[in-house]
Formats: sequence, structure tokens, C-alpha cells
Amino acid sequence: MKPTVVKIDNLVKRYGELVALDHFSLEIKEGEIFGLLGPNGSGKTTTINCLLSLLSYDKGDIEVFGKEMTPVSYDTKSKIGVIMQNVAVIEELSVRENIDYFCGLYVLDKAKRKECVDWAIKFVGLEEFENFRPKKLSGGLLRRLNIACGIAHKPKLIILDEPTVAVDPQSRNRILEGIQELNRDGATVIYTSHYMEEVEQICTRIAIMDKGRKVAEGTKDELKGMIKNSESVTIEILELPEEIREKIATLPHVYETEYDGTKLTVRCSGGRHNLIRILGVLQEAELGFGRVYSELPTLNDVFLEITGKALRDSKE
Amino acid sequence: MQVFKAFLKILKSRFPSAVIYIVLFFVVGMLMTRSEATESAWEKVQLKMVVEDLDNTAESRALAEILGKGNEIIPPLASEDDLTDALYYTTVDYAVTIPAGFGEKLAAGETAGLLETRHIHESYATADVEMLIGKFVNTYGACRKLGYNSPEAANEAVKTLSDTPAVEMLQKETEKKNSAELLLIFFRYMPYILLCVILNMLCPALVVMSKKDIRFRTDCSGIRPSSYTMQIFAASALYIGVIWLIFVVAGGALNGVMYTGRLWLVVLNSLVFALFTGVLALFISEFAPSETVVSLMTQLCSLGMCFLCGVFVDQALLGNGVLRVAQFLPAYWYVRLIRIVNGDIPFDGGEVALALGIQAGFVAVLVMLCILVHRAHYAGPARKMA
Repeated sequence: MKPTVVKIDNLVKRYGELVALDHFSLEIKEGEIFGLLGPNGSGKTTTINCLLSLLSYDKGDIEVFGKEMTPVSYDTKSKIGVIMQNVAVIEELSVRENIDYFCGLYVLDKAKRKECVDWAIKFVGLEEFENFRPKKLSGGLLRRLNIACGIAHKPKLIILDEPTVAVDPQSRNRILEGIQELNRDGATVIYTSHYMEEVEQICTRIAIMDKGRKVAEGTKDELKGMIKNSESVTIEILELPEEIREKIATLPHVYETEYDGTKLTVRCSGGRHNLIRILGVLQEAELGFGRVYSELPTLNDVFLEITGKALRDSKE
Repeated sequence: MQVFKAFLKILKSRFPSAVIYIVLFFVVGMLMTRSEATESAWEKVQLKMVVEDLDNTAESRALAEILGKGNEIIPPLASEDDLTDALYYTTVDYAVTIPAGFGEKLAAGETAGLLETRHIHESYATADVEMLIGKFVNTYGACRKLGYNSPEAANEAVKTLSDTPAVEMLQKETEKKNSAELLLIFFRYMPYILLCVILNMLCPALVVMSKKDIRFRTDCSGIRPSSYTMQIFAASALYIGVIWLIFVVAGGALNGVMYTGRLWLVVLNSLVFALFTGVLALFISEFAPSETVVSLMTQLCSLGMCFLCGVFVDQALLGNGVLRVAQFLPAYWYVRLIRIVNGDIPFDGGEVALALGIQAGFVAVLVMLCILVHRAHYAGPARKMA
């Protein structure tokens, strides 16, 4: 069994009357890419700040690499790399100098640091820009520099707090591929985002947060298995008699139907041949229909069903 | 020493603007001290004159002699056109033609229409020549009335008008500055440049390092806060030290003075003030102002303090009300110590210690305020509350 890298137990953090973290617990094993998924204000960043001992908390325990995390846990901190949502680089220093500076906060040996900096520049693909000042870089390149500054010291635990916000798709893909590569090289990754596609794409395990609580945790499949909806069938149909809709609703595994005059949505719970059965009913009634979609549930569906609201639309 | 090196690199990137301040200060400072040092002198303007004597009498020769004194006499030109050109191109400033009959008319007591004169460009010098001619005519007339004959009257007029009184520029002995006094003037202006250079360079660099995101990243790292702070302090101190040293060395070199005796008090005084300026930069940067605000604060602190405290205007010329307010500012005590060393105020060891002590007190108070504000901003390390 792989060792535990991060263990958060019963964490409570209050800002006055507001409970930012409500008895939040978490355990992350070595080698995982762990996704913290939740809408803005759900407590993801607060969790990270508490984990890094940058924020005091009211109750609970935090252990990193098997040791209690405190503000003076410098040895533990030196094994962690942090990449935040905001680009944190020094405008007056070049790309190389920035990476060298932040790497130097962890790696004191000059020769070793040079190796680390060279590796980080290559890793994020900034070889051509290493003497540029940050203000000369595009948004995507700046994000890459931000990442390089966080990983140059080759940390064992990498925390990425929404690193792809306001990033173009090309840079986003490169960042996500990079995270997976770091993970393959042995780093444990904590990835927070409110972009469910990203979390779904790279994370091996996911915790869904809402209002400072962990509402679900597991692998993608485990999470999807937690909800009733296992398949949504959508059919474009301009005329649907009520008795036909009722007939579809009585099919095995169908638990909900919705018709808005142009589109019929049928939600199924389990079952393998739902689409064939639904289309069979329509053909039997000799009803014409247009395009047909069959969609498996997404994390958004999971979030929607668990919290009663859509992930992206949530505003707090 | 990673933080130390990075901080110096940030300062280095801002150094060109500091150089502009420094160069301007030295140029203006040198000009000002030189103007204080230079004794005033004057020289009479010489006119290039053509004097054509068509009369050739004792009177006309006497007038020509008078006009030739203090002016450059040029031989008569070939034609009227040549003279016009010469006057136009100022190769000749003034032309006098003494017509035939001048001596007779003068002896007869006539005073108008005696000469033909030409000039194009008006100046004090041409007016002076006309006055001189007038004086000659009047002096000659006076001599005649006293009973002198024509040649004698002409000679007397020449003698009288040749006795030009020696002109001496009066200057108080106390206003002549020696090198040490010039150095003290240089030091008197130093608070302004120290405030400008240190605040304008150090504040933005400190603000960069304490930006929320940079600070966050630093706090996440394995570096101890004490080590981080010490490195920032060390780099700031090095910068302040270098700037201060440049001015102290340059001040001595430009004024040709070796630091001896009481001049060391002035050097110590400037060091304490430089420290105050550095701590002031730390204090301002705790509020993480934008560059515009830093610039505004710099101007406010430097100009305000320097005008109020007697850096730009001698404290002796400032009103009592202004001086009472200025006593609450360190620059007042800085200037006061310079005045003590300069002898404007009787030398007293207690007064010197008071001036230095109060400035050091300002440094201490600002350091305490910095610590308080810093603690308020960074509410200490995170810890479990229960």
C-alpha cells in the first residue's frame, strides 16, 4: 500500500460567522493526481492555504509526509511546490532569473540549482525566452513561467490551484500534459479547479467540495456510480404524443423524461440497451425523429445531483 | 543569499533613474558651490572706434586722446560705405568725425553740433562714449571760464578725465567661502538627494518583494522568515551605504577637502540621515503603494522636509513658526548640526549629541512602526486555534 502524503482530519476554518471549511477530511496517497473540485468559494483555496500553514484554522489536524504541518515545518515545505492561480513572478528579473530565484529558496547548491533551472525551462518550453522579462511574454507563456517557478526544485508534492484560469486551449493542454508528466516522474499532485473537464481528464481521484464540505470522494467511475443517472438519451422530435412519452417512461431503467416541444430527454439509471428500447417505441409509433444523442454522466451531472446545482453556474 | 542577490538585481534594474538624480545633483551642486566661491570682478567694455580728426587743433587732439583711452581706435576707413558696412557688421562700434572748426567753436563756447557721430547698435558703452564727449566739452568750458587758454584748457580736460577712479567690488570678507564651508553647503543639500534616490529606488524594490503573490510563494518555500528579512535588510543597507558613500567621497573630492576634525561629525550626521531615509523607505513600502504613490510620497517628503527644515533656505531666514514645526522632522536636526559645525551656532557637544540623538530617535521610532505595520499585515504564522 502506498504511503499517505497528505492527511487532513476534521478541519474547521471560520471567517467570523462564515464557515469556510466544515469538518473537512482528506487523505491523499503517494503518486496520485488528486482533484479538488468545487465552485468558487467552496473552500478549495482555503484548504490549500491551511495545508501550507499559511492560514490559521480553528480545528482539525494536518499531516504532510507523515509529519504534522506547522508554520515552521521548513523541511516539509521544501518538498512542496505551489503554483497558484495568479502569476507570481518578479517583473524586474528575466525568465531564467525568476526561476533561479524561486528555485534558490529551496535549493542552495548552485550547481544543482542550475541543473534544476535548466530542466524547468526545458520542461515548460521556455528555452527561447529565458532572457526575456515577464512583461514581454504572452499570457500562456507567463503561466508556463509561473509553473516553472513552482516546480523547478522538483518537489514531491505539487499543489496547483486553478493554474489554467484565463489560459488559451493550447497552453491549457500543454499545462495538463506537463502535470501528468510530473506525476509519472513520481510527484503527487493536488489539483484544484472548477473546470470539471480538466479534473476528469487528469485526476486519478477526486473530492467534490461545496460550502466547505466534502460532498463526495472517489475515482471518476466511483463518483459517477454514486448518482442515479447513468445515461442521458436526447432525441430531436417535433411531435410527441403524451401516451408515447408515458410508454417510454415505463421502460426498464428509465427514471425521468423531459420534452420541450423539440427535444425529448430520457434519463436512465443503469441498463445496457436503453437507446435501442427508446428508439423501438418511437419506430413502433411510426414517429419521425432527427438527431439522437446518448451521453454518459459527467462530473457536472454528479455535482448537480449531489448538490442540486450546476458546478460552473454556482456563484458564492 | 538568494533573496539578497535577487533584491540587488531589482535595485540594479532601477539604478539608471538613480544615476540621473545623482548626476543632476552633482552638476547643480557644483554650479551652486562654484557661484558661492567665485569673487565678482568687472572689466570695462572696449569699443572699436574710428576717430577722424579733420580739425587737428589742440582741442580736437585732446578729444581724440580721451576717446582713445579705454577703447580700441581703428584707422579711418576708405569710404562712407565701408564705414556703414563696418558699423553694420560690428567691426566698428562707434565712429566720430571731428570736423574742421571744432576747436574754434569749442573755444567760442558752443556746445551743440560740434561733432558728427555714427553708431548702429545701442549699448551702455555707446552711451558712455556720448557722456564722455559731453564731459570733455563741459570740462573744457569750465577750464576756459577759469582763465585757461585753449591749449591749456584742452590739456586740463584730458588730465581731469584721465583720472578715472578705481572701481572696487565691495564684498564682505565673511561671504568668501573656503573649501570646508563649500563642503558644508554640499552636505546641507544632501538630505534632498538622499531622500530622492533612496525612496525612489528602494521603495519600489521593497514593494515588489512584498507583493501578495510573491510573498505567498516565498512563504510557501523552505526559507525561514528571519533569513528572508535579514537578506532584504542586508541588501537595503548595502544600497543605502553605497549611495551614502558616493556622496561623502564625491563631496570631499569635488570640494578638495579631507575629512578631519569636526567634518567627521557632518559625515556621521549624513550617515544617520541616510539610515533614517532607508527606514522611511521600509515604512512606506509596508503599505505597498503603487509607483505613482511612491513618487508622490518621495516628492512630498523630500521637498516638504527640505523646504521646512532649512535645506534649501537657510534656517536663519525661516520664521519661528516654520522652525517650530520643522523641529518635529529629522532634517531640521540634520541642518542644525551642519550649522553648528559651520559656526552659525556656537559649538556645544550637548547640542551635537542632541541633533544626532533626535535623528537616531526618528530611526528607532520608524523601525518600531515598521515592525508593527508588518505584523498587522502578516498576522504571524498560521496555527491551529483550538
